[in-house]
Amino acid sequence: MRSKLALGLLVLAMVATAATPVRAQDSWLHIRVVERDGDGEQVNINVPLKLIESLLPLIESDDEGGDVHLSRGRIRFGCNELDDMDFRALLTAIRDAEDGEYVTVKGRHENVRVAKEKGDLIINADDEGERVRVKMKMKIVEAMLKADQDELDLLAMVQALGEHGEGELVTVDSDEETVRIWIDKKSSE
Amino acid sequence: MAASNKGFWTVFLGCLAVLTAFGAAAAWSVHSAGMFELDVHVKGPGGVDISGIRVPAVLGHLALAFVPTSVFDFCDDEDFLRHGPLIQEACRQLADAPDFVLVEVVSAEEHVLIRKKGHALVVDVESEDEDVHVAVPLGIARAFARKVERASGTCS
Repeated sequence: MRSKLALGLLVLAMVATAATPVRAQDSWLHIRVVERDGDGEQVNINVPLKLIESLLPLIESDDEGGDVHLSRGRIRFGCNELDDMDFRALLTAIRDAEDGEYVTVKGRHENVRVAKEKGDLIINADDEGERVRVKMKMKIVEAMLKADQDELDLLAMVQALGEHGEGELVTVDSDEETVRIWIDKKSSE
Repeated sequence: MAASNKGFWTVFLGCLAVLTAFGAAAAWSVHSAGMFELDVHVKGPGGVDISGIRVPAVLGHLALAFVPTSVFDFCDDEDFLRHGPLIQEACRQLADAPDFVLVEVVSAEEHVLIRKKGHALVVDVESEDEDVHVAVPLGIARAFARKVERASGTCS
């Protein structure tokens, strides 16, 4: 009787363990904004990527001009939005090419550099009083390009961020504020 | 006599055990559903102080069940209708997530903290004028959004 009870409890424990999902450490998106002027307001946002992944397909949005359309986790840019620049074609070209600099703009008021270095897409943009730095693994760019010809797949991008995106994504440093966006495995900084 | 006493005590203890089990199940159910919490402290002379409001979410679920469906007819509010499934999914995902700070805003005038804690979404605001603490159980928020979605299913 006792052995049957012990066996039953053992089976129950095994079933319970199998039914409980073993969750790998989830990835978190962090956004931190610190104002330099005014009262130095600071905003911290922490979101699990799984949450973004589950909500993106449910968001349907159009901007007022109808040039940007978000649906089913994919974003479509109208031709007016990017001043006739084919953003997708540019990313595709960079993805297929070797490491190097692909766009360099040096102007009186702005400097822009788009490059590929060691598997990372690098975008540096310096404007009057503002420095923008974007660094993204090419695997994430490839995920974005999985969509149809005139779309970018944000859902695939978020999934790829969870797998490959740990680290700093975007930093913006201006006279008014600093913005930092990064991904790691912690729920807070 | 002894046999009847034994029978009486057996029945009595059995009933007591059943009642205890029901009570424990009810208590666990109330605990797992979470609690509405509200504390408001308005500072300054004549300030209002509302504290210690705690309502089990189970009562909220009960209330939702009895409120007429027509009350949730938001057919005129397309934005609300569109975001109903979003709210439900967000509540479901948050309920599965560990406790964490979702948004924190710190400035000279105020400190705002929105976090997921236990079964609830908790909002704490501390400012020069007032301190507010609100906790909304995620289950009830999800049930509310679901009720709206069902009620608005007849929108033409």
